[in-house]
Amino acid sequence: MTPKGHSLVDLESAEHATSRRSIISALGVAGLASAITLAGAKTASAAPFSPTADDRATLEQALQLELTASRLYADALAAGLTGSAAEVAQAFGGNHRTYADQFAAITGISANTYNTAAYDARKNDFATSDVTQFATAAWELENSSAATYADLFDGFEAEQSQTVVASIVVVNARMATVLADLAGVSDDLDLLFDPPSEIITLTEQP
Amino acid sequence: MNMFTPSDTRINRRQALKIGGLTVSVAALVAACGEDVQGDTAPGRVGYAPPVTDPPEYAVDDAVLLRTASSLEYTAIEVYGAAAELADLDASTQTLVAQLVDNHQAIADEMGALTEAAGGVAWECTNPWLDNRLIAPLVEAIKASDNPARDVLNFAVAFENLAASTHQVLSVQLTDDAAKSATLAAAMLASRHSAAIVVLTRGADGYISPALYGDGVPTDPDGVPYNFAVTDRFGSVGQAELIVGAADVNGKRTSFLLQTPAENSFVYNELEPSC
Repeated sequence: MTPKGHSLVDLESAEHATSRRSIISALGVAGLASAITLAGAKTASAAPFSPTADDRATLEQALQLELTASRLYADALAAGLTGSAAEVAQAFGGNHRTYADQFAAITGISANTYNTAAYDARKNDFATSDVTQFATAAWELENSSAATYADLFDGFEAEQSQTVVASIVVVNARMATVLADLAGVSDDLDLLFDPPSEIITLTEQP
Repeated sequence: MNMFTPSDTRINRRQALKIGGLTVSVAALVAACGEDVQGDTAPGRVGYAPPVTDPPEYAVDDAVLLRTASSLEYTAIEVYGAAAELADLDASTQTLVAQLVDNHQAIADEMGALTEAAGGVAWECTNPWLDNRLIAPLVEAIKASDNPARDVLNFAVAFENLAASTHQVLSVQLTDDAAKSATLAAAMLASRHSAAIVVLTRGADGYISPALYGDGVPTDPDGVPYNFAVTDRFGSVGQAELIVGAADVNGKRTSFLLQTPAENSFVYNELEPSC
């Protein structure tokens, strides 16, 4: 019978087949060789995933900064903030408490100590029911926290340290924008997008 | 005598099925466990489809990631250009948009310089993948919208969120310290952009998303979710949904998913400029 065009089913081998056992043997050797190569490459270039000892020391200071911020927002609420300002203080204080817990989770360090110097420098500005005073102080805190983390960022060795810090600073920036509006300075686009900030001195660990 | 009474010695239909199934199963097991089976191990192909060709393996290095970052910034500038044509923006929003465009251009310039420092060629075009699959259909949907002003603002917020998420991811993926710092700063600036658009258009109502407390995000009377300045406790890098356009007969509007760039939307070193 004369064939009529191509068969609809490709029954030809793409390449010469070998036995299953020989394929498995070959894959095993190749896999082992690849694993050895990758292991060597990882030690040479890849960043560790979990925080290193140096990271943990810095993250402990960051944890204390977050507890400081949480405490300052709690002071503002206790001073009698109401309305939108109170909602902001409640939410942002909760955010900072969550960040402290996250740092504790990835370092194994207890979240129970705050940065007394950073707290003392700001406590009077936060302990107020005046919305503008509170918002201005909190705006400065969020911008300075973001600047502090940005300054520390390159120093983190582990991927997890960098990932967590990066995910916090972007929310610092969002919170600062809300606070700028609450403080009445959001019409100034230069202040909104390039706000003044100072790097916060972190507490040295013994 | 009942002529139709089944005999015990005959095999009924149920028994036949059992025996047949058992036979096939045992045969398959024996075939699978057999050694030294010869023949092609690839699945057979049906029809006249051409042979499968593997996609090229292009390296993803710092230059590629920075070119991708640049492409996103130029796409943002294009988005704001389209926004100005799609809706009548008031004077204060126009001032804001002009500032946002300036900021995105500054970031694009910085990413370009960092690309060249990393040994690559600076990318000064929009992202082709995003252009074709997201921006163009989005613009078409907004053109048909019953509320283009709302859709344009939601589009801008969504795109700033996408830019923030992308730079946030890149800040961890990049290896060069200067590039890491620059993308982290860009992530913060895009986050400020997004929050500013919301705050300046919604005021205090748009400060904090109920999602922070695990509640659902409210929608406007048309069923379009409201935007918020602070959307999550941590910067999200997951995909985001954007709903725009006119409602169909069922009241449903077009939904778009925005995702941070990945292998399919990277601007590889081998990609020629499209502008």
